[in-house]
Amino acid sequence: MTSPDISTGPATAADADAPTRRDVLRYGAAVGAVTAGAGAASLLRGSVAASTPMRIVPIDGVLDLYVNEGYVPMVDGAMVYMRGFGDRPTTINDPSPSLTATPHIFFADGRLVADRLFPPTAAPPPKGRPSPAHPVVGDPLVYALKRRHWGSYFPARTIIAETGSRIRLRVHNTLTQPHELSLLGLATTGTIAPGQTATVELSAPAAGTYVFADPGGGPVQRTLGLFGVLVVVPADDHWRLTSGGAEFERQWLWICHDIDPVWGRRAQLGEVIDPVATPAVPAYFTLNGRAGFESVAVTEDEEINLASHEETLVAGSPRRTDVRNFSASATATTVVTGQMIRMVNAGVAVHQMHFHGNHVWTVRNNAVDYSRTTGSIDAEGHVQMQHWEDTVELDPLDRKVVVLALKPPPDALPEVFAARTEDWHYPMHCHAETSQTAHGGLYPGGIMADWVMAPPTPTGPAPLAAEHHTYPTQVAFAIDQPKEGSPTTEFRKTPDRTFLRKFFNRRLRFPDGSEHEIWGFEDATSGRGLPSPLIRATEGEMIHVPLKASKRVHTIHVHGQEPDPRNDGVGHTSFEVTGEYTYQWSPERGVPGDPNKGSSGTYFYHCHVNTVLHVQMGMFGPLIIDPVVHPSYPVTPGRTRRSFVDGPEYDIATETLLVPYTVDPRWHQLGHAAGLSGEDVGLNRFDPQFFYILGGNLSRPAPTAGGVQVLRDIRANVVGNGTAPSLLRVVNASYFPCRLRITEADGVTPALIGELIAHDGRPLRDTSNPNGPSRAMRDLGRPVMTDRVAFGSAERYDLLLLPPRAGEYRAHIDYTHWITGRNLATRTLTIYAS
Amino acid sequence: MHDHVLVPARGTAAGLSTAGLSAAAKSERWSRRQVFTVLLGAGAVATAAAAAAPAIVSTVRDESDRTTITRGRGAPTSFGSVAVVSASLAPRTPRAAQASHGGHAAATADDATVAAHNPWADALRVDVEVHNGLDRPILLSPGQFRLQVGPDGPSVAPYDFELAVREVAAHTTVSGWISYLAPPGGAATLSLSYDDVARPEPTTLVFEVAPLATNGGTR
Repeated sequence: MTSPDISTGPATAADADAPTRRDVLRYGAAVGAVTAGAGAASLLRGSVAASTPMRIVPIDGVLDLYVNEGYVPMVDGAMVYMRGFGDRPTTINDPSPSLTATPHIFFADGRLVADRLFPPTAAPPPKGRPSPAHPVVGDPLVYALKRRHWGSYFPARTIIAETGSRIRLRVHNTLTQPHELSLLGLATTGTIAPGQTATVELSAPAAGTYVFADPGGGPVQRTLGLFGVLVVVPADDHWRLTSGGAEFERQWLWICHDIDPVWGRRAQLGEVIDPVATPAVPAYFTLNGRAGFESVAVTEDEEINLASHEETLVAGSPRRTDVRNFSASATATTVVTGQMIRMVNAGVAVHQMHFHGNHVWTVRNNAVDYSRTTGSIDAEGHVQMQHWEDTVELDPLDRKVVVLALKPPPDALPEVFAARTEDWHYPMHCHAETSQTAHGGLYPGGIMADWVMAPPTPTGPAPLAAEHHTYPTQVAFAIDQPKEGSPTTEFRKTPDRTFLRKFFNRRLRFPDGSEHEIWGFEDATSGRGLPSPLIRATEGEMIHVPLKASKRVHTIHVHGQEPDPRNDGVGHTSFEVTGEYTYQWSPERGVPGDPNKGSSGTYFYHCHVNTVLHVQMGMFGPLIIDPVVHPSYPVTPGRTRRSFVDGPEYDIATETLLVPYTVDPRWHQLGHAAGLSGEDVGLNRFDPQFFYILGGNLSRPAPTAGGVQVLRDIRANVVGNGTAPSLLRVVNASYFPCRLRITEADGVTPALIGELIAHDGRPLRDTSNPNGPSRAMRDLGRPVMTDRVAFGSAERYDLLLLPPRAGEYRAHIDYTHWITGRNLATRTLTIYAS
Repeated sequence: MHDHVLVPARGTAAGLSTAGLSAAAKSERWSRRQVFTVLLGAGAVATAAAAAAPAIVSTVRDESDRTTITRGRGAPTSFGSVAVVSASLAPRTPRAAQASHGGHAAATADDATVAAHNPWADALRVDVEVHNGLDRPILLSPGQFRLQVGPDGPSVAPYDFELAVREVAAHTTVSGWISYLAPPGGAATLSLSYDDVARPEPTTLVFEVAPLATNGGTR
């Protein structure tokens, strides 16, 4: 197919309404004109825009984008000045400014089609939710899926391109300052002067996810809204990430963004924003342009709810996805796989995408496919290989691809799962909890999205209306999280382990002499301390955690454990507890060599009520699940354990817990429900002044006098003569990214003595054999060695310490700011190797 | 507890004219950082103010863009005017929720559990009027109005509204109520701010809230 030349335009004007000779002259040669006049009644410099919108004659196969400005209602109704790449020219005074473009698709055959559904000819999933093919014979609670059947809805700001296509963009700058559209790392329009037009044209790059943005001012123009996402799909298979890559039932694109109204106001005034001198302080955090109650589709606006269902809220029927093979199939028309989520961070903050109910399988980071066979550590300390995570770090401009397996929640009781009669909702939210706010409060009002497991007898989607209680505002949603006094534990069993947890509040003295108001959980013997007492159990055990919420409302969420929603401890997907409730679950037992089974590992539990505040106040404690000893992987009772069923033995006597925690003293003056009534209490601004390493040696008796339990040093065995290595369990209880660096005693020379064996409670395994066992990396002679570990909020790592000789080493914890990346503090411990 | 109602100014046709407003209304050009205050005194009944028909009280010419702007009641804005017509404070009346266990809609919060959670229990209902005096439509969002608790206290987002996000046509006046959760005992310190997006500072609307004789509840 021959396309008109983007640089000269069509031979004839296509739209008799618009083109004038002057318009035609505007094509591609960057001679577009804008009538720059003052916006009516606008007194602010910088808000001056075209009073007469550009009129452009379209060119076949060329996507016109307009750099526009306008005001956008936020989740609390506030209006914020933003810019964006729109699909029609509008002015600042337009009550409906075009700041985003509807998805467009560049096909390899040269066609350019505007459509939210891709492929446009595929079946549109009703309300975004694919219906399954049929129950699996002999396993009727799970389903086989329709293969290459369902289309996927994409959000505004998306450009889709098939491999082999030609991407042709013409960008018109309607504003009074220069702008640019850069397909980051690929191509750019270059600077576009005010009122001018520029083009960019390129062949579609390799299948993957890319960001386009105005790079002006570093993150500034992007934060103001000038960004979008290019999704390149393999032309020969629309249901795979790449040709031969991971197959999926349908795919999703989640675009995170952070909005700073002050930056918006300053940009509107025409100020040049220096992001270093005046870093962004976002007040709104969006996913696909929506937040809070909009994202979870409980507004009174059916259009918003439908858009969230179709573009954001992952939903489907349960299946037994095997992460070794995303194309498992018994027939040509069915498949057993998950749903793929492309997560893009167009914002300025580090986000931590935490999934309840299922871990996700990470397959790609930016343009690099993770290996199934080899693990590596990047310069910052992130592990690079395909593996399970429940909290996925998403740095600014990161594009990560994960598969949500939609497995039956592994730690739910089978009888509870079998008794389902309705949707099970699980949250996904950013665990850098400051992002869960809007205008300084209104939890949960930021980057969040439920995912939904359909009931066992799928009858198609429920009607939009009356499915859920709806809310007129985010305030109404924030204060009306479902509550129950002392609800019943359904299908209650006799527990193997019971861990009473009672709420307390108390001022605690920290080792640095400071005192802070702390809220936490205590049991009958722990005293009132920080962190809350350890919960430790074994796979397969029936665990009970009776919660006594005291005078106020609390929950216990066992972060990373995946029970049914009632026992997941989240208000908006189950209930908050005002009296007493006994949480019940049973961690799934691991199977040697099976990457799909097993829940042993390192976790933590925390209150999920007004979480942004309650976790910072101290309402968290460690949670460790041990594996059942397998005959093929024995231990020395009393001396060694394994962190997962076929994991390496470690020495019980030196097992250590390391928990970075920071304190913003301003937050510790706030009340239980601060921000929920709609008041701005500044919960979007976390300004830690105190930096601690909580934890301790886990072989020591549990504390009985409360107080702050800090980690003072680490003991590590020099392996040999039958001595097992030492295990370090790391949990980030702060809201900012942390990094563990291990050095020699000089504090500088890196010491490559850490071996990563698990992340977020799941082992690192070689999963390259689609049918065979997935052995632990160490057993294959490919240990993932490191001298550093980057771990964002709520992430956990298990690492063996393998010092080659006796002596001292140092463990440094760097606490970095989630936006500036500046190192706020470093705390150093001594590792004593013997 | 006491319920409260806004009492508009005595002896003003629209119930909104004050010294501050008059000064502003007389000005045909406003400074970029001007903050407008509408102070409502005590004396008249709220229903009279609420029933008063919207009125164009002035027409000004903005020299910055040669645009003629008509004004309605209340404080002048870049596009026309905004006004508080009445306000009342009452216990919040929660909307009913449906019982469910699987998704968003779990059990209805009863009084005891709501109290345990301790959000603010009162709701301030404010009837506002917005006049678009321009020759083009404007976008209006209820969240542009925020409750201000005391001079140093927090601002508060709307809890519910009748005045939804909408376009306001040229030379049109719209009105409706917006409610806010309000802290206990704070009636005397409440004010309303309107974020006029074309101006660098919000417009502040100060009003008094007097006791109500009856308690009907406010959504």
